[in-house]
Amino acid sequence: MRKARKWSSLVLVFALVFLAACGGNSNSSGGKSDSGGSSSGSGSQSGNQGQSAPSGDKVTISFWGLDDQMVYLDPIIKEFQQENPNITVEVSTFNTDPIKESLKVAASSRTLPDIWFNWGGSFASFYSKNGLAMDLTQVAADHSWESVYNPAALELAKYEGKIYMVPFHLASLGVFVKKDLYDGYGFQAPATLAELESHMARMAEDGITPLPVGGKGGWMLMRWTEQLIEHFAGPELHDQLNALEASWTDPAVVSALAKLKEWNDKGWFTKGFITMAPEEAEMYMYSEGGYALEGTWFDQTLSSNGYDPNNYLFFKFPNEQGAARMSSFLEGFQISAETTPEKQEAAVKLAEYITSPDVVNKYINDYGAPALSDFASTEAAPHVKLMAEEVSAGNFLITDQALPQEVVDKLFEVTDAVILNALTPEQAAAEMQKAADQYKANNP
Amino acid sequence: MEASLKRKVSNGLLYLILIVLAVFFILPIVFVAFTALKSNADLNAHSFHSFPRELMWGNFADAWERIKKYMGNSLLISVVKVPLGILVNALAAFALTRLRFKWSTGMFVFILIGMMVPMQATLVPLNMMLNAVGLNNTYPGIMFIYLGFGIPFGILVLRGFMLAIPRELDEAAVIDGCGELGKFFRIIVPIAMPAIATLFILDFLATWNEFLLAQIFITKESMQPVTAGLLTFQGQHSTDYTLLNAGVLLSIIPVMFVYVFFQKYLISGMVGAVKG
Amino acid sequence: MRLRANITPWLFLFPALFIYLAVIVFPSLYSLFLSFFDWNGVSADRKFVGLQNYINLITQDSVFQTALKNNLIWLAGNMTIMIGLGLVFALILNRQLKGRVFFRSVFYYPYVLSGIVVAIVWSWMYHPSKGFVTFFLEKIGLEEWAAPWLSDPKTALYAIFIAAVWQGAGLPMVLFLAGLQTIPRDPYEAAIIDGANPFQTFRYITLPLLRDTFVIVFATTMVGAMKVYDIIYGMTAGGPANSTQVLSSWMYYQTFKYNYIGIGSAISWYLIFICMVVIVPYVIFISRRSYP
Repeated sequence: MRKARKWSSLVLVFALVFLAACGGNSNSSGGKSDSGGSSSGSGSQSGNQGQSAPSGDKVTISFWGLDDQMVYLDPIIKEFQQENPNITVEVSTFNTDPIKESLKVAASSRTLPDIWFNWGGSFASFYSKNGLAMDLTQVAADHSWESVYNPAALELAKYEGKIYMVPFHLASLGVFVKKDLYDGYGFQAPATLAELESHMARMAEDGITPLPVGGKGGWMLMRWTEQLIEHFAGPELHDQLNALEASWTDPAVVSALAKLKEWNDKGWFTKGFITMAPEEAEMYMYSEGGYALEGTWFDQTLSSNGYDPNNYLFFKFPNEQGAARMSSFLEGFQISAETTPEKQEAAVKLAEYITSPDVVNKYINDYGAPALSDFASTEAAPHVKLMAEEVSAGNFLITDQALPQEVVDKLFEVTDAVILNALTPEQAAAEMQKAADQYKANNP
Repeated sequence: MEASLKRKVSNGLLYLILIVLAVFFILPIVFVAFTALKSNADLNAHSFHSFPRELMWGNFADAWERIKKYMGNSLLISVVKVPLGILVNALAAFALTRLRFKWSTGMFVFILIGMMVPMQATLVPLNMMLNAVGLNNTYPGIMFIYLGFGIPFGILVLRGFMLAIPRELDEAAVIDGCGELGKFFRIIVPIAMPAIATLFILDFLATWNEFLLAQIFITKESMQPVTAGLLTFQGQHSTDYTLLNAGVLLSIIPVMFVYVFFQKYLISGMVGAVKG
Repeated sequence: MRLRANITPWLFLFPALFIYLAVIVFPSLYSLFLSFFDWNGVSADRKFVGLQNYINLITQDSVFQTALKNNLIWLAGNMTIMIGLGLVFALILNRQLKGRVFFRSVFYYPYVLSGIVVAIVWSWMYHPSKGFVTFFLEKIGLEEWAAPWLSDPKTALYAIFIAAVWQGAGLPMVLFLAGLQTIPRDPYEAAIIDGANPFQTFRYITLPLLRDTFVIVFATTMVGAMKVYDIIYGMTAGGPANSTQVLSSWMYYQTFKYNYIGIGSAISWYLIFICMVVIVPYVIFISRRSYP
């Protein structure tokens, strides 16, 4: 009897938890982004090119996007389906790193969705160069994309001269600092690197960490490294380095790495920053001070942490190279090259809808930085419009998308090593060149 | 007299060591609880182990709102897969230990090697396989995969325990006229209950915490398990740590419940495994 | 009659075998096949390179060498400290102590947490300014020891290891507790009559009778140590300067970030091979003893 009661109480508890969990989802298919789905599990028909769409005009496309974009993409996609009743969209959402893995696995098993979110540069080029992403150059011409999207965005959407992405977010990066900190010192936005360094020194004297950077994963530190390279190498050489056409043993690279080391030796970085999580380290900047080299999403980051973006000053990194190019990258949608023409058409329609000016402006408070040539500004994200204007003066592709991934990781490794005094800047530069050569040998 | 004083001192010393170690073991989760009860501003401004300036009980409600559907999915997957796996493994272990079978050792070695295979190596072929039979993004599909990965350890434990069951019981069953299947269900399974309960705890835990396979094979958000659900607290550029910690505490409740419930079986169940 | 006797074992085995073959065996054989190629997983270009991937990893890939070394260090640490601690806990908590159920739960519950969660919790413990470890060391007057352990290549792996011991000591403890309970009382009583002290009892009675337990604990611990991933990647992402890469994380990078499917597969098979070499003899040895 006791045993029976024990077992039934266990079952009861599980049933309660299960019901409580499912109770909130009144819709049959549950989940907030799962808007109607076709009966079979697989949405993409990759590989079955001869197969025509089901009877009539009805078409179902599968869409892969990021978790944290669903806040605005969810209603947008629902509206799209209302306006296009013959198109059904099956949405799958992923976190930042899982989507990259899942796309790779899907690519290798030929099960890519009809349309997916991706970052540009060497992330998107894998799909472009292996014939997995649809060439959209003709579509771009037919639909006059040059009058809709920011030219910088269209450039970044290209691989070997052809367009392979529908531009979604045009992100650019610059320096942020607390306004009242600067006002307190009577500082203006620095025009030269030396001036910036003098500001940093002043902060350090007062016990404020000028560079609250988190080095885990390498990419936050890289944002500073690449601007230093731009400063010492100049735009042309920088681009050649990223294209692996110039040697990384160039003195400009050595100087950039040496400068980072100098900053670390002065104690300007947070103690133990090399493996600290980026968001954690940067929290210091929101409340205490110091600089953040952040992007067009930063206003939203600040708000979600409870700070007002209007209290932060933005300026381009003073690399003293002409118009001071900003680091930038594109987030966009790629469309499967291996699915039916009807699905491709529907997918293009969806992508263009999501990135159309009316829709963008309607959701501008949450949308982030659109890739459009013109869009509304918003109080919630005051820096977005400003940065979009600044980026037209000049931009370079962010390093972790410009270089092949294994060379990027090598850059992270040697930068860490220089900071830790395990390598001299010259040795580090030599290691970089070795990695570049290795890559070229493996990928002729 | 001296002997019992000695024992008291040694016991006292033992308790001291245990309590110090217990504090070391409990402290981190206490900090998780603190974090779960903080506001974001509090977390940013103070040390990670500080007591919350204000107790934000609402964090648990918010976190629950967001992860409850994922917990439902995880529960569904675990509650179906674990008993099924135990049945499959028990049948196989029974064959390896009870049925006259020339290759039982070889077969066991063959199955055990599966424990060494890293999951990442199998992702692409498994994805192709699931898509080929149309089982991708379905619960049967992911459960099939989970069953596969649970087989080596499951058979290890159950086989070990079944080896320790005396053969006389088998012979009694034969006299009573049970077939092999009858012997299995009426004699062996009841006696192996402790091992089964043990496997229930460990397998439930493993299934509940499984992330990599779920991430690749379940892409529909409505079907994702709690491991993916917890990730939604991490955005591309910022992470909501307070809610994440609250979510973690909520997500381990079912597992701890299973452990506590099956606790008393846990120790004697593993006996079979350790005897090899 | 003879025919039926031959089929029955296979019928019982069939579900497990079918699933096992489909989910584990064929995919791993496919991965073995791929390890002999230079391929990015999608293009039509797939070049056979024989053992070249394996050779290059061992001779030219400095990160692979670091990863292998790290796994071996991790293995050594697990086999000694984690198993040792589990054994000590089991020995202490096997006695009729009051509150032993409580202590057993306390030492076991971290095992319930996922590697990612443990990584976050312990990264915060180790935080150079806001973490508890720093705070504690300062409080007891050992500030010199309070260094950012996770960001120094010399100490990072060991710092992570402490977190891993916290998480994992519960499993060997549970296994040993079970093993200790199968030891009959007679040998102990005889030993006490003969005047043996606790250490002699442990060494000549407990240890030999735990032999079976040791072997299974070694096997599961070894596989776990070779496959370790979540906790390390969660705490340092393989840094600083790739010094905490392990085989699983390096395999992930090669396969999913750099698109070198062949190299990633080769790393997997190095892992499997190392485990096989140790564990297969163990199983055969044990099985021989179970079938006198």
